[in-house]
Order: sequence, then structure tokens, then C-alpha cells
Amino acid sequence: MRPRLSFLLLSLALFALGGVLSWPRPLGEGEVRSLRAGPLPEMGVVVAARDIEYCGYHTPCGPGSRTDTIFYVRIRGGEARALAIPRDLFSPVAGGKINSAYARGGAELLKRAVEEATGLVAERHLILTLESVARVVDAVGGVEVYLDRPMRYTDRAAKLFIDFPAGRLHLNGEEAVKYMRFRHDALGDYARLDRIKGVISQVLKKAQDPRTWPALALALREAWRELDTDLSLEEVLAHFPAVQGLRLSLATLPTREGRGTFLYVDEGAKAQVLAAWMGRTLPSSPPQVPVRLRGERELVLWGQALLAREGVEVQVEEAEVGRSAVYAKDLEAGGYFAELFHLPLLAPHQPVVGVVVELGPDLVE
Amino acid sequence: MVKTLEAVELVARIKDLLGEKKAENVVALDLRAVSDSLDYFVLASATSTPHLQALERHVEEKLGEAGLRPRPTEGQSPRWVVLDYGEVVVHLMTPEAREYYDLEGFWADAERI
Repeated sequence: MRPRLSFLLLSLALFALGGVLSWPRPLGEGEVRSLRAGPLPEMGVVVAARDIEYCGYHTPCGPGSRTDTIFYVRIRGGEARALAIPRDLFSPVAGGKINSAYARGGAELLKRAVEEATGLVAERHLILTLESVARVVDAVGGVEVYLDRPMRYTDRAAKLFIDFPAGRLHLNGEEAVKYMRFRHDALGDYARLDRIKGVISQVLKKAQDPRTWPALALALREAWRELDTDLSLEEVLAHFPAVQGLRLSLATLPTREGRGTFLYVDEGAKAQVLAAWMGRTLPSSPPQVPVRLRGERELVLWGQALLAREGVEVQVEEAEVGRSAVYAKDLEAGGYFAELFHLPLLAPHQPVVGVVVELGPDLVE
Repeated sequence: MVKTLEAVELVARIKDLLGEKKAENVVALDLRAVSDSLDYFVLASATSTPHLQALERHVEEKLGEAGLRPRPTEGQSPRWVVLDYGEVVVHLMTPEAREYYDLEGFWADAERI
């Protein structure tokens, strides 16, 4: 069966689009009817995840008000473009780090802070809990990752115990949340945002498969009870058909180090990234950049043959790959190959030479 | 658009099997013209969760006798069961779930077969 696209919005409901805030009672089937409302409207959504609050030593007491994971998502014309915002970014409007904006002034202040940082309009917000994220990851059957080295970390106070061996791993929802919370490697928070991008793209891909829909629908109905959002379920249901074929690209807001532990927006780099990210038009012929194919031998050879037909010479590398994706700093060049292979484009913070296309076993599943 | 004979036969067989167990409101949709990635859906309602399970068992058993097995599914719900036979995906739902998720409404432009 070819990849299935359609209930994408079910998972977008958590990661980009929808949900219902403070529903007065548990949502029952039949209580909400979808509105048939044409194509997906263009909108900017701030999606953030609330960290766990600690009432005392060793005593987690539910979702906290700090949001360490913040994305600005622009939905437009069959495409979702998401920009990760580093949590240590200094926000003048919040009077501190941007991850404290939600605690200081709720979703409205967080939206203003994101607008200030990106210069883009944020109409809507969707604030998640880690539990709801785990539920949705479980509903799509977990995610696959590849670790170059073991991932180990113990924070007894935070009750965070991470112990993943190196290699190809299948993670359930709870493990995926740990994987996304880990930041104790050389690139710290940037690497964490790159891992989150990888998980989001996998969840969206898996949500295209009708087999995940019943479980996903259940998970989202549960999750909706915990969400803080100004998107209604009617809106989400209304636009289900319009998200068929939705394409995803993910980048990070460029920042530079500054006073103390604050980060500041790198205005020069931001202008370049936003121009490419928002106004990106895909090149009609293959961009002249180095292209590297990574993955299992047969897949890499298939990819090499496909690219040869396009007149593109590539470097090939046999490697274990978690899930297929295209990685590039140059969003236009990366977008060309993401389109060609029908894969998500992930612009990582870590350096990438040219375009790297990773082909994993998910391609032939 | 040319229909795949095998898929169309499978749709007809599934509709028959669902009819044998008194499934309600059985509808088959050809989604190929309205979706990049979906082919055929067969939708049917069950009057209760036990009826839903009976429909699921019957379709699985009878198609299993012909060597057809659905692709494994991660999780199910008491109100909605998906059987994925590749080009043909069967959605068995309670009437409430059927109305709530309104798959026919999502693909209102799809040809009914």
C-alpha cells in the first residue's frame, strides 16, 4: 500500500493545529459535528509543550507552566512549515527567557513573544502536556530512532531516567518523550530540537495510515481534555480532507549567544531563513549542491538510480537509518529533494554539507 | 479511471460478508480520484460493540480462508475497527462513531461503488 495521507490533522491537532480548551465535560461522540468548510485556511499556530512541574524534591505534580519546546507552525496551501524556537531565547516582551512567557502571561504572552522573535503573525495557540504527546506517539505505534552512541542520563529530582543503547531503537510514547527531553550532549538544546523534529515528522507520516486512526482518535479525545488551545474541534474536523498530501518542513530560528545564558535572535541569519522558509519556491531543476545518500545498500542504490535520471551525481554511504528524511541547511535545495523523494525536510541546527537524503526501511514497509 | 478488478471484487466480497452478518449502512467509496494515497474504503455500522466484533471476526475468517489477512494494526477502539487489506480498507464503526468521524463526509466527492 502506498503511504496514506488523510487523518493527518488528527495528529496535527496535537503538533500543529487543533483541539479544544477547557471542554466543560468529557467530549462525547455525536456532540460535535464537523463543519464542511473548504480548504485549510492559512494560519500561524504557536505549538508548545509544558514541562513537568515539581512540587518538591522527587515530587512531580503534573504539567508545569514552563514551555521548553516551542514551535511556530505556518499552515499554508497544503504545507506545514514549522520553526523551532530555542527555549533560552531572550524575550523582551516576556522580560526573560521565552520558555517562561507562558508562565508569566499565559498563551497570549507566549504568542506575543513568538511574534516578536519571528516577526510572523501567530493567530492561534496549542499548548500540550508531555502525557498527551506520549499518548499520541503510542497511538501511531511508537517511533524509530538511530543513536550513534548510548543516551544515558539520570536526574533523580526530575525522575528522568534515560538509558538507551546505541543503534536502531523503537521507542514507545513515554520513551520518545524522554528522548525528546534529553539535552546533555555537545549541542544541548539545539540537538534536542533536532530530535523533536525527527519525532514529529515520523508521527505525521504514521498518522497517514488508516490503521492508526482509531487509536489516534481515541488518544486525541483523551488529550484534548488536557490541552490549552483556542482551536475548536469543529475546525479540526472541518479540515480533515484538506490536509491530504500536507507536506512538512521543519527548521530552527537562528540565534546567537549573548549575555549570561540568554540567546538572541541572529537577525541576519533569520532574514535569510525566513525568506527561504516562508517564500520558498522549489527549483525546477536540480540545485547544484553536494548530495549524499545514506541508508541500507539496496535503498541507496535505488536512490542513486533515481537521482541519476535527474542528472544528479551523489555520494553514497551505507548506514543504519532510523526513518527516512531529507536534511539540509539550504531550504530551497533541500525542498527540491524532499519533493522528489516525498520525504519531510528537516533543517537541523547541526552542520550539514549540501543535502543529505536518508533512506530507511520505512520506505519499503 | 480504470478500476482494479481484484480490488473491486474484494470490495464486493466484503460487502457480501458484511451483509451476511447484518451490518448496517454498508457503503464503498472509490477514493482514487479524490486522494493521492487512498484507494477504496468499505464503511459499515454495527449496532453494538459485540456486533462490531462479530463483523470483524466474520470478515477476517472468511477472507482468511481465501488466504487474505489484514495488515497488523497498532491499536483498536471499541467503537471503530480498521481492517487493512491493502487497496481496500474496511472501517467498522458504531453508528455514533460513524456519525462523529463522518468519513463519507470527508470524502463526499468520492464515487460510491
